[in-house]
Amino acid sequence: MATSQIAKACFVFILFDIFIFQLGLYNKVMSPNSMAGMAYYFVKYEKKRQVNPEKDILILGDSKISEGFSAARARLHSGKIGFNFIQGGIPGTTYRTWYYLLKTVDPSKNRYRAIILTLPSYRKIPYDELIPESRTLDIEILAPILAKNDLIELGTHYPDLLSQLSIWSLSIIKAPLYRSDIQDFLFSPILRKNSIAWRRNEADHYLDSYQGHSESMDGLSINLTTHEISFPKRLTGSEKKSVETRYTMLHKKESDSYEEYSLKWLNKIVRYYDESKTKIIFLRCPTNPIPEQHLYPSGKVSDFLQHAEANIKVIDDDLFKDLEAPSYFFDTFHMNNKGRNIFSDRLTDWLIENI
Amino acid sequence: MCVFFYALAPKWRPTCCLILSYFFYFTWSIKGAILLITLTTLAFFVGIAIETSNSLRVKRIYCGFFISSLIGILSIFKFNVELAHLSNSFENLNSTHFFANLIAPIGISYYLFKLISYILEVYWENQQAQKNFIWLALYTSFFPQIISGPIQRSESFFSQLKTDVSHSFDIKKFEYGAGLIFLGIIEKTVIADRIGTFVYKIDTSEVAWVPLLLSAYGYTLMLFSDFAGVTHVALGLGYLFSVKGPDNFNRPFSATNIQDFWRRWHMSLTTWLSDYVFLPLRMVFRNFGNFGLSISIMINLILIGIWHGSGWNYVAFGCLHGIFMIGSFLTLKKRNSFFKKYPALTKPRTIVGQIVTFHMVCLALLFFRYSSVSSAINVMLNIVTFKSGFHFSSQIDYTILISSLLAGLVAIYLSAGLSIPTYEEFSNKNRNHHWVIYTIAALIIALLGIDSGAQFIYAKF
Repeated sequence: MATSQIAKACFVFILFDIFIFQLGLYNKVMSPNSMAGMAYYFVKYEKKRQVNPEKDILILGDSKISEGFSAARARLHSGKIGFNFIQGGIPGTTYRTWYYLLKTVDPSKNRYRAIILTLPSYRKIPYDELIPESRTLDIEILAPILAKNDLIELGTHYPDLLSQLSIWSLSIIKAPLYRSDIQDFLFSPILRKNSIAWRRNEADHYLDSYQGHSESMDGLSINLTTHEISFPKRLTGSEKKSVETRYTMLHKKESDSYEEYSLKWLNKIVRYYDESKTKIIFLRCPTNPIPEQHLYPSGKVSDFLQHAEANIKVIDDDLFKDLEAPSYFFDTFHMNNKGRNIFSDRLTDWLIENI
Repeated sequence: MCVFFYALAPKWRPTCCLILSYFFYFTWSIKGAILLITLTTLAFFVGIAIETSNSLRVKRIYCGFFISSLIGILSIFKFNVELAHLSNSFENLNSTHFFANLIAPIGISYYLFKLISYILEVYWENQQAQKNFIWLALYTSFFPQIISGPIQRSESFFSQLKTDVSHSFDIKKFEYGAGLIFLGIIEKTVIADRIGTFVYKIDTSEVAWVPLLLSAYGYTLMLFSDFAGVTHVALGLGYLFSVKGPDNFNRPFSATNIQDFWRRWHMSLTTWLSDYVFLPLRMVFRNFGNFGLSISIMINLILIGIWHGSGWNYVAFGCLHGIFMIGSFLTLKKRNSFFKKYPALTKPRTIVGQIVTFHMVCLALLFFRYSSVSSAINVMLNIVTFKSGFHFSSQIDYTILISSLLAGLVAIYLSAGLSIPTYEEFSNKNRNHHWVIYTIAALIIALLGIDSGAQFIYAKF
């Protein structure tokens, strides 16, 4: 009799997990504003969308692209050519997440005319994360949408046994993954309802109506010799502190592990599209209100660029160099509406000319 | 591991558990494990030597020397910073670097107290020396108890190795243990860590009395939930291996006076100190009346303070509790005779007593929480002088505040008992429906736990 109590409880718990989380029922009410939610809705609407492999261009990136690229404007700017730009900027994502997102939305490898991969730099520069392979954020973003075999495969790419086991356990019990989301839901159910309704309304035209930020970082400058930073007048104390934190990276060394990571995952994406008509385009998007050349004058070209495969096109670094200026950014990472518009137009022009 | 444990013949089970315990400890620290094994081995031989010796003087030498050594070792780890400063002032000594870099092995406070109590019980002839090294080693290193206790007595542990561990697998015990583990994890990850999301936001730069007071309440409830959580997990794990450990808490915030509180809080430590420090001190000072009692109480409570750490704040913590205890004890007769005259005031006395006792505990814990006495006093003064009103200088999300308040209410409910049945009472009732409770508990842990929770607080002692 007593045995059945624990066994019963385990059975019911697993059943609950399967129905609510494993089969994706909870995903329907996941916050569309969380990174996992953005990834989920991206995949959902991409799968539903009617494809046009001659016109569809996907631009993948993190928040720099969700803020800095306007798919609606680019569509309009492409005029008679009629490119259909798809906004794939999901905050917090990087090469590994893009690889699995592409595997999920494009299993036949023929969905897009081109896929633009936005890189923070073509050169070896310092990064915050020393060991990007152990990044747990990727699990949070991908686990709600990956098939079991992809989830298990993702686990094999983590360097330590504990991370691997915790990822593989998600193929059995997914509930803990949704903790923060559920707690947020419990506290603000009406807000959640409204944001889900808004996101459903956006459907596959996500962020089309978004105009971007109007503020700029005019007044920002850094003296690399004295390390003195001049701040824009509008910044608060905590905002100034985050600018200072951002630029302490300048003193860090280049990260070899980031180089290895870049080479591995960018090559995986490129090889995935080996025998496909889809063009892979590398683009160094504007990353800073201070020009990269100014911040890292001696950075060497990354290995992944030197070993780039034949079916890759690389957009010249110089094309958007002038956008790395304080007047085109609203913080130290993201372009404002001015920069967004110029970036979108210029990218479209390049694509019209080159693909 | 449990399946393997019960599949073994009973005589091999303690060995299996010992291997598991040592493996667990070795993964923390190899040097620490070597120290543990060395001290256990010495205790084994000292215990036998004390028992077999015919001379009381020799017994006393063995006992005194070994216990002094254990206290000395514990003191070196507890007071390493002070010893580093002291050796720094003697320029000829090269030991500053050694002391400054000394890190206490995990669980040392707990297992050294176990060894001290074992040797004393053998010396006092309350129990026989353990002739089975495996049993003694397991007692010292038993993995559920080594990180944060409870401090189980050797006789209780050995008697269970003789009887309970030899029994076949008992599903009721297993279920009981699993339930305790669930309870402990909820207390830690759902309640303590959630209160912590608020408490740790209020740092020493905060000056307004309302957030400071809420933070003081929160810290007290967080400490209880965290420590009760680790205790219940430890007890639950012990049950999975048929070992029943002593509980550390008995609804401490239902205490109506400070003496009652210390009979309900960290019971394994307080009974240990009572048996091996307080009662011997009472014997020494028995001819000094209330003064002798007061000294015994004060020494006992200061020792409780410095068991947690070497800073003056821990001494202040102990002293404050000592003052509360002495004050309570000295006025107890007068208070009792007053309330005897007014029996209608009995219930209000209970309620007021609980509230006052809770506030005394919160006040003393200010010295426990803040690393300097001056910080604790500043916070205390800001609270009692109602400084700056209702103003949070730290940025607190309203969801953190509300969720912490809710968790705090649950913690009060658990710690004060109220009408909730104790776990033991629950486990004997309505067995057919326990699966519902276990399922709900698992869901609560899975969905309401805090991802970025802190380490168990009592693991650092």
